[in-house]
Formats: sequence, structure tokens, C-alpha cells
Amino acid sequence: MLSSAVTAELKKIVGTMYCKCDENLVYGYDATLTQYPPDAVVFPGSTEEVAQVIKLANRELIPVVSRGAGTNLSGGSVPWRGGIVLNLTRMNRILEIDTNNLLAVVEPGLVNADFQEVLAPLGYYYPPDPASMKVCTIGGNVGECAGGPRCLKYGVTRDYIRGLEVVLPTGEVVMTGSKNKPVTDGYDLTRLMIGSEGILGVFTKIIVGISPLPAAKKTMLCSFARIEDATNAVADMVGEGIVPTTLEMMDNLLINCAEDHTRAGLPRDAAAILLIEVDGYQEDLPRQVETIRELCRKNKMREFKLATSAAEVDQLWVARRTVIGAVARRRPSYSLQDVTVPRNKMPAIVNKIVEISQKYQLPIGVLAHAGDGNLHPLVLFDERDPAEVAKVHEAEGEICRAALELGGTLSGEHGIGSLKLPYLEWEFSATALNLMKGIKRLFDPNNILNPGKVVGV
Amino acid sequence: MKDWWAKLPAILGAGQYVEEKGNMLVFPASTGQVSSIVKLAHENNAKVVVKKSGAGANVREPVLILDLSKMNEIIEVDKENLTASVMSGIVLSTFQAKMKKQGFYFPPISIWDYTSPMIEAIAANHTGLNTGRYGKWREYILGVEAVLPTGEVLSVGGKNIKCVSGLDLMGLFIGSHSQLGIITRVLVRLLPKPKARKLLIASASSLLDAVNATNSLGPRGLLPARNEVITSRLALEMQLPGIEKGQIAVLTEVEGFAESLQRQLAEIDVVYQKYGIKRRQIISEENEIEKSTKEPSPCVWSGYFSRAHAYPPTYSFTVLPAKTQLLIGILDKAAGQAGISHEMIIHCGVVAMDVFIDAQDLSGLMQFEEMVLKELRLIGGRMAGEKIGILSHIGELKQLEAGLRRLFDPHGIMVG
Repeated sequence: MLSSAVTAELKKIVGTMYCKCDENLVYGYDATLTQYPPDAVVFPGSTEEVAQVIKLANRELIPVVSRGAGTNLSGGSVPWRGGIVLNLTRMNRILEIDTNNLLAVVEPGLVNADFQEVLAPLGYYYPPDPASMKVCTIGGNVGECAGGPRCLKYGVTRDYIRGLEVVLPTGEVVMTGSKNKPVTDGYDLTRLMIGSEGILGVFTKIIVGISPLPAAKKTMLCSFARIEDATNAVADMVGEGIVPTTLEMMDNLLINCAEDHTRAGLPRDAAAILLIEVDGYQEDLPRQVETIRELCRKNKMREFKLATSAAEVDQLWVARRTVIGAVARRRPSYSLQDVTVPRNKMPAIVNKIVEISQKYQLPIGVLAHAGDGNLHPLVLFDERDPAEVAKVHEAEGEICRAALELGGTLSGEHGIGSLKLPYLEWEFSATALNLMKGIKRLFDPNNILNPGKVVGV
Repeated sequence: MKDWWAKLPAILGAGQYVEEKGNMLVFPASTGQVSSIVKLAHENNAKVVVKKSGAGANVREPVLILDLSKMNEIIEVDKENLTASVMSGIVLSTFQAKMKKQGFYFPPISIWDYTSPMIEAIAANHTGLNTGRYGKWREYILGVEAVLPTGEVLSVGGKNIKCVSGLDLMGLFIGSHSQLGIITRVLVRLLPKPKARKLLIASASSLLDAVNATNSLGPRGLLPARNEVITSRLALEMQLPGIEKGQIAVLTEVEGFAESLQRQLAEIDVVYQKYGIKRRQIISEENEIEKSTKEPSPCVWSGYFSRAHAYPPTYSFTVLPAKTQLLIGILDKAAGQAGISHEMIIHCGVVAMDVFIDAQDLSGLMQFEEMVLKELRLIGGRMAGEKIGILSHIGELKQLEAGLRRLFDPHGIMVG
């Protein structure tokens, strides 16, 4: 609970209509099951206002959690110690698009898809494309180092951020990086900020790289009788020198959930489908498509569809785009995991997930960015049943441990937040964790920014 | 001699250390040996530096110099995951050549340390010929094993293309000039070797036309793998095919699938013609692009590298592509007023510009530098290693960096 003096000061900084101190539950949860209402939600409109709010919080030792669209999947944007939620959605302007220098400067609250819509008519795009891109914000993408289906070929958010304007936990404003692409001016604080989930600073301006839209693309859908066949086909494609833009895999459970929902004609009895997309120069694509078809055939594919029109492309994508919502037909709740393993360990981790599913009697569907080994096991359950919720947490812990045992990592693109904190010591040595905690204490001596998250300080 | 140096033989074995000009030069062969040596230095508050090619230690007191040239092994090439695990002392050009033989490609090849150990390029996060198209070192490093200044060994990362777990310690090591730790082992990401390559060698009579032409490719969706503009004297010394005295050379190389390369080059040629850039030669054979087949003329990149190495750059600047023209004007004006001559290699697409000066006259050099830096900032450019921004902000960043250095290196032993 904030004092009336603090509340009054917040209102003075951002304006009365942009400071809310009641009915704030909506800003207390994200895409996980956790919920903690904040004491206040403020909607700053400028870097200066952000800096003033942070200075006030630092002086009064009030926790501050910055937030975009709240699509976070690790509890990172949940204010579990109360305090102020710094909602950055008003700061959603595109400040500059410079096609000559292939860059743009944007504010953190800009929605990813809105940015793409502005860029597309100019012939450009911003490659990171998280599944939540219709609502998630660029600031949130930077905070989580978001990926997306395209990142096998084009890389993750980290690879497109040239510089950041950051409000530090003291309220000081600094600029890291620059518009120039290669910068060697000291330690790479821009990289340190990316994926730090708002524990080191608040981004108020973001310099991003943009790319010309590819000249052409081809979209394919291929089904397999065994998951191993699908993953082997993926390995063969990469080994053949083809790096698809997209290599999305769905298992049988999710194929059926998607088909129930979309009636897109997906093969209900297939063990897995691969949604494959290649892009580039028009004349390079036919041979790539043929090579992919051959490699899928070699790995015992069942069916192969090549979209021949934009409508067919949409039809092939519809299952992938809607599958997460579609699981609601099976169980009322789901929890989406985000482990990554080396690409050749995909069959092993999928087998392990099947074992875990059987052990806990919980349906677990596997959705994967198969080309980069990033899996999103969807654990289906009923959150009204506390015993089942407990089983979900145990199952997720086992999935994380299995990924680490296979040389993987706890998170590919969703971050640690609060939910994966208990597992962090499984991945990192005490030395590494102490350094991370030391960095947090160095940047934020009063521990006001998203306390307790990511590294547990 | 320092007392604790007597403990080195037990760690390294005979013949793996030598006292040189008051410093101790050691040749460790493993991470374990590096760890033991650094731990010893940490306990004795002794300064440690990682040996750079051709560079001495710039410290007054005796220093322990680590030469990692014996740590040059390729530990593993994982064909399924397209990764390689290597010791950081491996020479960059050797590693690249070995990967190519196995059908892989490792893009972040730097220019100035191409024949130096990999650790040098990583420590400096150097820009390379391929940076514009493929990115820098961080994009290709999936994991590191590093010896911290306390002697502890830290391993982070793995064979995972995506990772956002905890804070990015790996990113801090890259480009930190070994101040935060000594990287001893690197897990790098490989790419499949491009199916085909074509190199266009063109000439220009105007430097501005050359850079305007090359900078106009990106916005047209043409992304060459390498795109270099070289001023006339350097170009002549590189003995580039078809480039004559007084001509500026433009080296534009495309790579990828064979089907589209001819069209890409044709489109580039059309753009170049608009700017008066003349095509001299197109080379499609990899061995001609890479190495000499027509002695004594070294062809093409090998000539580039060998000549470039003879001219370590006096300055490195970066500007936005659209500001290259302004920077060239600033350099010409400053050189004219200071009475010095300069040559340039412009790595287009990034844009990084290496400037070479025959510095006979130091006062002229100082005048040149002062004039360039003043105007460089006005166009948003920067010199390598320079921070830009409002002074108080720079001070804040420097404080954070100093804090990071204290955190990693509490005794301040690492000389970067």
C-alpha cells in the first residue's frame, strides 16, 4: 500500500488520469497462473516521466515492475511484491524509420505487429516474430529476448537491437549502443540489458535493425507417422545447407486440438506435422522445395502439401496460429513451457515428455520450433484442482531437468521470471549465479526493479 | 624475478615459460593450467595480460603474459548441431580453412587479426569482412569456458541456438579485451558452406560514387556477403585484377544458392553503372577468389589480407551508411589542412572505415585527429572504442563498467 504522499507525487508526474491505485488486478497477472495486484499502475508518456517515477521509487524503496502487454510466460511481469507497475503502452510511437540505414527507433510500448504493418508497405520488416506478436510489445520482446518462428534463419531479438535508451534504477538516463551497427565502445551493456526482464533498467527508446522483405517464399506442410522421422528430416534439411525461415512442429495431441478448432484438414492420425517455410530469391526456391520434399520422403513422410496461393499459405498457418487457444477444448487450463535442447536431442526430449505425461497422467502436447531445438510443451489441466496444479509444477520441473540433462537450457525465448527461479541452480554454477546477482546489485543497489526475478535478488 | 614465479614450473612443466624483458611469458596448454596460473597471480596481486600478436604489455611493473598459442585444438565438430568446440588459441584463418574443408562456414572473420588467435578477435569483438551480412562475434558464439581473474573456471552456454536463461554473461566477455576473464574454449555456431560464390571486381574514379553505389544496394534488397571499397594506392598494392593506377577498387561478393547469383550480380552491375562504376572482372571459382592461381599476382582476398596487414590502420571510424559521404569529406578536408596523405578501406554495409596514414609528421597527425573527431561527432559517427552521448550519461556508464570490472576482478590484475 502506497502512502497518500507517494500516490500524489505519482499523479503529479504522470497526470491523474494515468495513475490508477485501485481495480488493478488486470495488471497483476500475465500469461501464467500467477496473480499479485500492484499498489499502483502508472502510464508514463515520456522518458522524463519514467525517470521521475523511478527516482521516486528508488527514494521510497518501492518495487517497480515494467510491463508491456503482459503476455509474459514466466511470471516476469507479475508484481509479486506489490509496488508500482510501470505500464509502458502509452509510449508506443515509431520515432524514426530510416530505410537508407536499415534501422528504426521505436518506443517500448509499440506492438510488434503494428510495427510490421507500418514497415511492410515500405518493403521492410522487423524479423523477430513471437507468436504473440499481434499484442506483445517491442519493449517486452527486448526484455525477454523474444524469438519466434522466423528466428531459425534470422535470429532472435538480441540480433536486431543496436542500442537502447535506458532509465537505470537510480533514475539516471543512459544510452547504450548506437545507430551504428558495429560498436566496440566498452562492455556490451546493450546485450546485458536484452533478456534481463526489467531487473537492470527500463528501456524507453529502442534502436532496431530492419531488413528488406524477402523477394519470395514457399510454404509447405508435411506429416509423419513418427516424431523421430520429422526431427530427422529437420536435421537432414539443415545438413543439406537449407536454413528454412520456419520449421514448426506439432505433435498428435496438438494436431487434433487444432483440427477440432479449425477443420483445416490436418491428418488426425499423424504423429507429427512440420510447417516449413523457405524464403529468398525467387529462382533459388524451387530447388530448395524439391530438396526438402526429397528429404521428407527419405524420412518416411506421409503427405506433403505445397501452398500455391496466399489463401493456401494462410490455411497451412491457421493451425499453428490457433493451436494454443484450441487446447481449451480439451482442458480449461494450460501451461506453456519453453525449454531448448541441441537440435539432435529433439527425439530424446520428446520421448521424455511422453514419459512425464504418462507418469503424471497429464496430457502434454508438443509444439516446437524444431529447427532450433526450442520446444513449447503444453501441459493441459484444470487450475481449479489444486492436486492437479501441484502435478503440473512437478511435471514442468521434470521437463526442465530433462532438457538440462540433454545439454539444453531452461529458456529459449520466454525468460526465467519467477517461475523458473527454482531451477536456475540446475543450469548455472554457484560462480555464475553469484556474478549475475552481483550485476543486479551493482545496477540496482536498492533492489527496486522487478525484485526477486531472473537471478533471485 | 618475483618469488611466486618459482611456482610456475610445477604448473606448466619445463620449457613452457620464459623471462623476457622483466616480464614472464608463459605457454599454458589447458584451461586447468591457465586457471592455476591466474589463481597464483590473483593471490600475489600480479598483473596478467593475454598476449596479442605483435604487441607488448603496456604496464610499468613486471607482468605475466599468457601466450595461448598452444591451446589451438579443435575439440569437436558437431555436424548434426552445426557447432564446433575450439580452444581459443587457434588461429582464425586456420580454423576457417579447416571448417571449409568439412563443408562448413564460419562467418565472423576479422580483418586485422585474421592470422591471429581467435581470442584476440573475440576479446575485441572485431568487425570483419562478413559483418554487414552475417553479424558480429556474439551471434556466432554459443558457449564459452573462461578463467575468471580469481582463477575460477566459468562455463556458460551450450549447443542451443536460443538461450535466455539468467543474465548474458557470455555477451560481457565478448569485446571486454579479456578484462573480465580469459576465454579458453569457445563453442561456435557454424553455417553450411554457401553453394556458390561470385566476386565482382569493379573500379571507380570517384570515391564518393563508389560508396554511394555500394550503400544503395541494401535498401534495394541486395545484400552482398562482402562489399569493400579501397582507395587507389592500397588497391594498386593489393594487385587486384583489372585495377589500374589511380583507380578506386570495389570488391563486391555475393554467395548463396547458384540459381540467383547471376541475377544478383546483374542487378548490382546495373546499379554500379548508374554511378559510373565499371565492371572489371567477375570471378566464380572459389580458389581464384580465395587464393593465388596466377603468380605473382595474389588473387583476391589473400592479396587483400596480405596488404592490409602491412598497413595496420591508424584510425577506425563507424558512421551510418548514409553519412559515409560526409565522413569522407571531413577526412579529405582534415588531411588537406594537416598536410598528410591517407588511404582507406571502407567496409560498406556496416559502415566501418579504416583509415591509414603515413605519419611522418606527428604534429600533422594530431591536427588531423582533432579536426576529424570534432566533426565526426556532429554527424553521429564514432571512433573505435569511443563512447558518445551526454557527459553525465557517459560517466554513469563508465561507473557501471568499473563496477563490473571490480565484480569480476576484485584485485584488478587483468590488463586489457
